[in-house]
Amino acid sequence: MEPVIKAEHLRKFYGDTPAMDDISFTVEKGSIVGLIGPNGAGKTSTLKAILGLTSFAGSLEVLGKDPRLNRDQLMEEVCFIADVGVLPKWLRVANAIDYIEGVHPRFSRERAMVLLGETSIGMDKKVSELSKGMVTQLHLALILAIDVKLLVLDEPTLGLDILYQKSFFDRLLNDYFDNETSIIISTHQVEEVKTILTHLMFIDEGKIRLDMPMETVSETFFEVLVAADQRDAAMALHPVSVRKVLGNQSMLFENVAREKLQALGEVHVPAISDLFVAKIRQTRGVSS
Amino acid sequence: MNTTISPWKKMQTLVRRELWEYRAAFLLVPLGIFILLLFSYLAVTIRGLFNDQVPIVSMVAGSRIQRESETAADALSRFAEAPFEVKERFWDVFYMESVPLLMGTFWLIAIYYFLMTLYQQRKDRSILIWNSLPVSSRETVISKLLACLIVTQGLFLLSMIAIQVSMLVIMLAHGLFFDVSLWDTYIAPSFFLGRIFFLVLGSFISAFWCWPFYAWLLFNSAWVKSAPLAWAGAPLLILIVPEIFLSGKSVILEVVARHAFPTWLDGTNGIPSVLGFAGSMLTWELLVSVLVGAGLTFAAIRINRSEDL
Repeated sequence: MEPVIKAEHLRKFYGDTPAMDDISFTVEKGSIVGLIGPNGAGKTSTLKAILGLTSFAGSLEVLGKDPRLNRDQLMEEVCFIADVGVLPKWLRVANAIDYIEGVHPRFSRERAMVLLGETSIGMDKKVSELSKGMVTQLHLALILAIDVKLLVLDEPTLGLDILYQKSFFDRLLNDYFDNETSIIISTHQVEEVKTILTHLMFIDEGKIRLDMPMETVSETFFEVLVAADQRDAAMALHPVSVRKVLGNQSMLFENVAREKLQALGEVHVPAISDLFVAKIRQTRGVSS
Repeated sequence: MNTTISPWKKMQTLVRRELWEYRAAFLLVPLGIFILLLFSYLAVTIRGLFNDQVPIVSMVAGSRIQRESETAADALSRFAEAPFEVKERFWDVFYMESVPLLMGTFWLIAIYYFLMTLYQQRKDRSILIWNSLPVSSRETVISKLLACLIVTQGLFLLSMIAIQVSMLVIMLAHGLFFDVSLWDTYIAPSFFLGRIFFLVLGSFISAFWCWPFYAWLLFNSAWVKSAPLAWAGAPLLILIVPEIFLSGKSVILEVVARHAFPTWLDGTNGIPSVLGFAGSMLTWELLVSVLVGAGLTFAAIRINRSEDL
């Protein structure tokens, strides 16, 4: 099956700073990919490249199209949320629906009305009259009413409180995802999205540091709360990271058999945030 | 669910979006000016009836039809018997009085709009949602030109026609109180439909004449990070000031002024100025204007598309 996104050797630099430094990856149909990276890692540049919003070198196909050449056609099958708070203040709810219906061939007014009917948002209200939570609901209702093949989310819940973040991702998964649509999410709220991801991708300094399915992550990485008398044995297995937790040492291992680790202490699958920190430190050569 | 959207419907939607965003400037201002002028003419007319004055006497400088210590009835009788050309000239100037306020306001709105429209959507970050939809930069920029130069200018012209029709109706109503022929005094010499036609035609030719100026503003709006007025004005000043300093005059300033200010909107010369200006525009310079305007518009489309978020 053709991947939804096929990127090969993408390169983009801002001066000497790499945004994409020879990166290659694919996104398969029906997957939900978490693109995780620190500020300035190249996440937004990668997403902009996918959307045809920035120039770059290399080969990129999104739904079989080059976004540099076919952006307008591509955007009929791709939807993009960069920030749920960017609906202009002068826009009325009814106007927003009319507008998207008038420009997007895959927008369903009926679906938008059903989704908005579940909220307390009035059709004659201006965005400036809505609370931040309502603006989020409106933006999401508009996007969820578009039947696209790829949804790109760039820090979609930045600035929202934890209730709205949770509600956003719950709704995204329950109302939108249908195994036909692929979703790529760049976010800092890694723990918030971990339950919905099928793939995990770490990016730092313009390079992909990790790219694997979530089930492989849970088979590849283990965190062990190492018993004091097992420390030397654990260190001999070359942990990716070592950190102190309440006086004990927690070590993160990559590609070490679970059975072997169970002898060292309590074993569990690491939190994505811990895995992220460990991998980024490892690739930057920072001592843990 | 839709499967396709025709380019015509899409463009209509894009233009409507501009009207929603600039509702006050594009819709309410021409309506407001219409109401203001209508009430002004009504007030002057009613006041004239109570004071035995021809209401238009105070409006047309140099064409006073009522002499001091003369009754309104005498003045109108004398005016009714004046040569046709005199009456024609009088009504021409009378009706053109409403033009500078309306079209001058439109011109100021157009400058503000073209300077701010692309800049503002980057500033408030709403470009993120507009760019997330299948609308090309070409469609966006063309819709903005159409929204302002065709639809909004059309609304201002409609307001101008409405006020001129209202002025005619008010004058006819006033004339009913006096023993004069309404046709020979008010209607036939006013060249009403002809003037409306030339005003509309002149306005749209003027849009092509001023296209380089508007497109220059739009081009700057497409890329500047701040202060679009300063960025649009600075290059012109950099060229004009040394030219004036060296030669005492500036050809660049003359050319810019000629294409920036629709001077025919000065209504004091009436139809002759409209015809004269329309005639002066239909030259090779209009062709150059169209080419330069198209070039700058193309540049705005390119830079608006490539500008990173």
